Amino acid sequence: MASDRKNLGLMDIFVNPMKVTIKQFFKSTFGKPTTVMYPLEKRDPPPTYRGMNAVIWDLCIGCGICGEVCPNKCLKMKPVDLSDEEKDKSWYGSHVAKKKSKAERPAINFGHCMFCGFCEDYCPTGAMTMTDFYELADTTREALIYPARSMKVDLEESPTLPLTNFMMESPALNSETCIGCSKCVDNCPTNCIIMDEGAVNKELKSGKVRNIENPFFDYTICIGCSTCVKVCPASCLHMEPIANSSSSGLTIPVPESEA
Amino acid sequence: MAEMWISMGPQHPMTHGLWTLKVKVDGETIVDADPELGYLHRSVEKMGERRKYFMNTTLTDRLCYASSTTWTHSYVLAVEELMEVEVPTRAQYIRTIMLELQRLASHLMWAGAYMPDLGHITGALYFWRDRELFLNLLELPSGSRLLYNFMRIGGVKRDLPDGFEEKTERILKLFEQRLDEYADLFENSKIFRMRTEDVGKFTGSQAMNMGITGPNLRGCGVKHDLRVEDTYEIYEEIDWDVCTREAGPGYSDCFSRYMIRIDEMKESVKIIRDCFKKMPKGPTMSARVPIRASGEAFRRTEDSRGEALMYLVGDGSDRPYRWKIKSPMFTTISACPHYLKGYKLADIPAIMGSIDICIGETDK
Repeated sequence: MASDRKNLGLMDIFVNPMKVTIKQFFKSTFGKPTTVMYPLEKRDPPPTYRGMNAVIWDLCIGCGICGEVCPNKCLKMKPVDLSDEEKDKSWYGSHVAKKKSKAERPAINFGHCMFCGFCEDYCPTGAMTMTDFYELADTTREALIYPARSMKVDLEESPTLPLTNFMMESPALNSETCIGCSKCVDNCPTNCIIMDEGAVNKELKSGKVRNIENPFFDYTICIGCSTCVKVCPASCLHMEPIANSSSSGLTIPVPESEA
Repeated sequence: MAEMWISMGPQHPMTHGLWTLKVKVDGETIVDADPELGYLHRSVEKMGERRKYFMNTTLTDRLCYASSTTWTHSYVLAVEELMEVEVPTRAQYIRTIMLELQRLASHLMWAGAYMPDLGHITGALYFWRDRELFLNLLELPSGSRLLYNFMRIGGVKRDLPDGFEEKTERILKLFEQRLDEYADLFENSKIFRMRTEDVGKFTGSQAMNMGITGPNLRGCGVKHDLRVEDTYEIYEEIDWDVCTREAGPGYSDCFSRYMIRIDEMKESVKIIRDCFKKMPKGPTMSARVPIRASGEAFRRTEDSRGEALMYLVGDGSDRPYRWKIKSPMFTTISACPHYLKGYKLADIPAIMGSIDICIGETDK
């Protein structure tokens, strides 16, 4: 036996362990129970609990970042028809003035969801939230696929939060190949793109020289969702880290924490 | 008497996860052993190469269910080195608090699993009762009880909630009383001492040769802790000591490996208290976190079980080109023929339990 180890006496062998056990006996017999009678009484999850998702539709701009960052790809953007009331309410901030009757909202397959909380973290408007609801078990697989409308929640007053680019990237243009189709403008969820006189003049078949309009980005409200890159038919857009995106000539804002 | 092979596992009370230990016995005495791993292989490294850097924290959480934050943390450290991200000081303090809470929960999980191995079912109840306290604490900021996903590249998910310090302090105080109870129940228990003393001995130099790290190495009296040797976060500024134990001059047995973990829990309590004292105010997330990276990064941290190592190669895209995880338990289990030889068959649960096996990280 090692020298630093205590030699055991009678107290150690019989009395001390008995004291602990008897203390615990009285505690568990007459004290408050540790367990919760589950279906009747439920444990209180903390406010940060990551349970079932809920989407504040008034804040959602349908950018699809939640689907982009989902590691399991269980979250898909689904087209939904908006009612008139929703159409009036449902656009985020004053700079996003598009009013369409069709929009895209997230739908989640909870059979695949692992409740990692990335969709909530990366949502640029704070529309995606996680509730403390955890009783999601169901009898069929299909029942676990929650359509977009089932996750809609309304707040009495929608808070207007600043748009944040959590993706840390924004689009940059190669004006040589741009064909000026303005698809990016139509699809941008935050309306941060405008078309203006471009750098390239192109000669048409008739011999006329025409200027091709190019997109210009307002990086103050760009959220880096890369929708424009995906819809671009000429592949003239790509994503660049925020600090390098200067191709449009607009100055890049310094984040608040650095200013 | 003829020698024969006995296969223990993959479903066996000794195994703590899915793995097989084949032992060659001569009567009751072990003459050889052959561990077989790979039942729980989930191809985490290759899965990670298909996902973006920040998404992989969900995978690293699942490497070890008992100690998920420490694994995510070592991954996050490697990515930060790759992307050259600076972490705000407050985030580093919060990380350290979470890491030490996780270490406490992990060691309690181990102790609770070790006691039934020795036939002491009551022990499991005592330790897991207290693990619950730390799981509740870890749930408060992260929002989940087992897979926290709290570490982020460049910081932490969110700041600590209000009243977290008071709650932690209350639980730590309670836990210190409980540590005294453990001393009465297990440390000074004749039966526990008889099962664990002079069983599964290996010396410090043997352990280093076999690649055994962490508490198992410190149990041999070797003062080696990556929190000091290759320091990270704010362990330098915190007031704490590396604790060592030994069974005799330079060697460890199961009892010293039990005691080193109890000592480490006491140190963790000290670290958490000191962190709260010194924690500054400020942001918890770095302002600029790129999502693309190139180059290579290599980071090792002191996991609850030993040296966790992450190696990352980036090729300029938003996903890792190569991701390598080195698990401390893989080497420790692989070395088991060396420290099982010569003991009786009935000592196997006591020896294999005492090294704190986690198959999730071993098989990746």
